[in-house]
Amino acid sequence: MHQILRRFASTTATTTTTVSPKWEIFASVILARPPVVAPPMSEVESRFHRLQMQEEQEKSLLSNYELKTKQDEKMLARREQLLREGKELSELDEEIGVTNAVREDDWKKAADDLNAKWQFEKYSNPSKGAEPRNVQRELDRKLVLIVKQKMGEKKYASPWIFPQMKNKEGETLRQTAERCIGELSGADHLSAAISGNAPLGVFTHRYPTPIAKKTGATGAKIFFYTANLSGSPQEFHVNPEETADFQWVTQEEFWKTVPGTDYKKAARFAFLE
Amino acid sequence: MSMLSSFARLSLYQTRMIHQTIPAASSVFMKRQKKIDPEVAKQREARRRKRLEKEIRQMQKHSKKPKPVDELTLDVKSAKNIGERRRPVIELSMEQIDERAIALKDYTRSRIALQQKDDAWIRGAIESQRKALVELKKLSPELYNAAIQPAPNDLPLTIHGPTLTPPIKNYEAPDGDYIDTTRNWAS
Repeated sequence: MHQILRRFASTTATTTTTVSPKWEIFASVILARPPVVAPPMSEVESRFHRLQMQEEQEKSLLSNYELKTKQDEKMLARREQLLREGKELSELDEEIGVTNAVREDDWKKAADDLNAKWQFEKYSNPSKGAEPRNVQRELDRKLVLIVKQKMGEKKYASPWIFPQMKNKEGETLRQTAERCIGELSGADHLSAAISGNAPLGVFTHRYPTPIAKKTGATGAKIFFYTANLSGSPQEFHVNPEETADFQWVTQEEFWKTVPGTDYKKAARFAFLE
Repeated sequence: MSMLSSFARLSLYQTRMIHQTIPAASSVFMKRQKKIDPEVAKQREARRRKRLEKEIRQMQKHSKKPKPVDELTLDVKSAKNIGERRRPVIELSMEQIDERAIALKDYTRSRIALQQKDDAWIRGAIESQRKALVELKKLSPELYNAAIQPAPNDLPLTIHGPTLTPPIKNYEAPDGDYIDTTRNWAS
């Protein structure tokens, strides 16, 4: 009986406290740069791929090109033989024509020329280990944008967070998220597509006492929206008035850089690769 | 009562019996029917039937023809010297057979693991979204109502890539025409 009373007392106590708190509503945008190139095959995948190709090759029929190669070999052998016997070769040369070996040499030369011109090797992953501000780094990974926001104050910089913005009166959360992207990029035009009207997750942030007194709110509820950069921008800038610093990070870097386990957990579903 | 009804029936029967011939058939303005030999008529009937049957057969033959799968059919030119195209049969050693079987199993397991990961992610994301919406409903019903509206402008979603190699900076594609050589099977 005593226990029941106590429990009852405690529930009444919590209800009284949940009535009074005022929460500020924030929309936060998880801006992602989708992978540009496919990741390399894993060990299991590449082995399976190699063996499958081998099997397919064994089961296939010879192509015209392969037949021509065989024919070429025969012709060259005959030519050798005739040469040894010291006979006339002119009519045979016409018959041989352009051999596949010659063609392959030509192709190889053309490929080398192209490679020298465009340097495919160098550009296949140009920014491996590039600095985290580069939007073109880690091309085979999904990157997300984290920022140090000023929150409207000149000298303040928040810890590393996803860009966020307070919901205005008469504005839907998605509109807030769109405004957030707009103010993030400032004058530069930034094209990004938010997916869906519903938030992906929520994080509850309780303000420390001085801020709570100042704002008159217990804390903030931050609703996450996901967005993808459209196209493949080579450069990325942020509005320096709004943001002190920014980084493009992979999932692991995100867990290392951003403080607050609960915050990270609330946003963890933005990562899928 | 029953007498009366049977009477009526009787009278009706009789009237029917009276009007046997159709007046139009014997009209003076009608063309006279040519009398044909029943043998000839039978023959004609058989011929017409045969022709129709043939037509139906032709139509069925052409209507239900599936379009050919080019990858599976051998073209006439290559089929001529198909004997030359056979590769020498390769005897696989036990180790090779084992290696292939193991590779296949490993690959299948990796795909299952991937599928399970995806599945867990989808379930988690839906749950996370549900929680967020519940929170939002508590805070502000108006924002909640706006958030649960469908977003038709986001669909259809088209995603390009990822590709095997990144785009080359300042690359100018060579000039040329795009000619679509795909055969049309619509008609």
